[in-house]
Amino acid sequence: MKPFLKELAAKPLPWLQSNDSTSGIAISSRIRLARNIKGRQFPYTLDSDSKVDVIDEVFETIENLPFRKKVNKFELENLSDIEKRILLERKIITYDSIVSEECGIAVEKHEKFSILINEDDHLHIQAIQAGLELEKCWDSVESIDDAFASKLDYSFSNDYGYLTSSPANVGTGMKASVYLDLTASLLTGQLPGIKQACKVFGHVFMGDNNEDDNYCGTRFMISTRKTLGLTEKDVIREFKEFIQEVIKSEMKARQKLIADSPEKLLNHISRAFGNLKYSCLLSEEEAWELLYTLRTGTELSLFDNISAEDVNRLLIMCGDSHLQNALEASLDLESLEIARAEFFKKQFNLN
Amino acid sequence: MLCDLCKSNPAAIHIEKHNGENRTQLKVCLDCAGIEKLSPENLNGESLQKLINGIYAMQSQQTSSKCLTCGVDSDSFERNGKVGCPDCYTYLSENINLSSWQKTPHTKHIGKTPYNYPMKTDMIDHKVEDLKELEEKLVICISEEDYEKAAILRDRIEEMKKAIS
Repeated sequence: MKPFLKELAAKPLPWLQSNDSTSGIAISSRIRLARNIKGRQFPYTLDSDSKVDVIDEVFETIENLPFRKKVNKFELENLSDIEKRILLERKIITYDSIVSEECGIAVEKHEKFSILINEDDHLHIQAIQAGLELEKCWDSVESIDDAFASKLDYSFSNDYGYLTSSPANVGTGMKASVYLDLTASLLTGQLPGIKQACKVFGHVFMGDNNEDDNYCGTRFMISTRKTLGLTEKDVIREFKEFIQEVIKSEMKARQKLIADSPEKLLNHISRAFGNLKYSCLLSEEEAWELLYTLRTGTELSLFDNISAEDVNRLLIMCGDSHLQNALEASLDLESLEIARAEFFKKQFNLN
Repeated sequence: MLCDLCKSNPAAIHIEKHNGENRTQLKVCLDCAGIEKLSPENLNGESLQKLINGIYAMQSQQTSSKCLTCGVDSDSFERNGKVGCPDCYTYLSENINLSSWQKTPHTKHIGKTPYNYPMKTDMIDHKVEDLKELEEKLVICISEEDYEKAAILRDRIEEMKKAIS
């Protein structure tokens, strides 16, 4: 495995290290800018050779930028499946980029920002931060965007702004999103209200696995939709105010649950803990769900001997690739589920 | 309200198509719909579907357009929701309904512009505000000894001052 990726896989996720004011309700914030290079067709209509040219041009440009020494650059084709999955589990690349041809990635050594090349657009500049930190994300992506724009000409029109392969991104090319733990809203049946509010304010509400309905978890992603008619800062300001309202409503729901039916919340969290401790087979998705539920419990101070930091540290170990890397073994799916269950038993001192 | 296809007869049938979050509407007259093919005896799900398909085929013939730079046409755009190059925004402008994609009637870009890009006068007010903010950020970067970021900010401030003046 490439040394940088091996080192990365051993680190906790930077966007899960949080002691923020939202009591862990806002898990992480993300901003992504879509940009295309002037004079080139979008990746959707480019052949393989032209896509490689785009990767070369972007990598060469990075060599002339102030942050060149801080980033590691890879063509995804040259990475093994497990290396790609490690980047995917850390949300540095997307599933689409793994299945698309000729994508590239440049990632800052502490994962402060990343630049994905040739997914839907030539560049997707992304920053993720723990907690509700949209402005920090914006500062990060804006400075990278300005640095690129000083060396590259972007596809831009005075009327439509930054031109992108999907009309959903044209304009600012910016999508902001916040990953939220809405356990109490779910348990108290308030989710439809939040979903409706998102619709009214023009935001997109999605389950953790991109499902529009029939949610199977307690974590949700709310994203901005508008990229025209508003400045980036106005979008961020309005979106942040909206998310703060969602957080307030989740906090109220938590207080109400604790006051009215503490057993319902305790049951939900204790069962998750029990499943983590005593399961003999644990899939990746199940382990994530259970650990995030445990994390909610730590935020509510339900456990004396487990902290949110402990859970954050364990969360990244759920991923198939991170687990295999830690075990230094290549395992099939069932062996992985057994190994994961064993891992959690050990963590909770049952072996 | 006139028929979207012939633009002369009054519209009598209203079809709304939902494609994920994207909604399109089509209003047609009885002649364009070929409604005479339907009778109460053969009116069922299948015959209605044929009727609707026929209307869309006719619409597609009338409005099909193609980008002369990359070859992406309106059908491909309808299917995939993606355009192939910057020129598609000119060639397929009739097909790309930005306000429907963005769920907003405001379809003008008022956000940031790339470095060195000549600015329109209505953007300048925004830029003066941005400039003040950048100068404040520069002071913070220097006090925090983040000189790499400060250098980028300094260049951007200079460019912005040139663009505004």
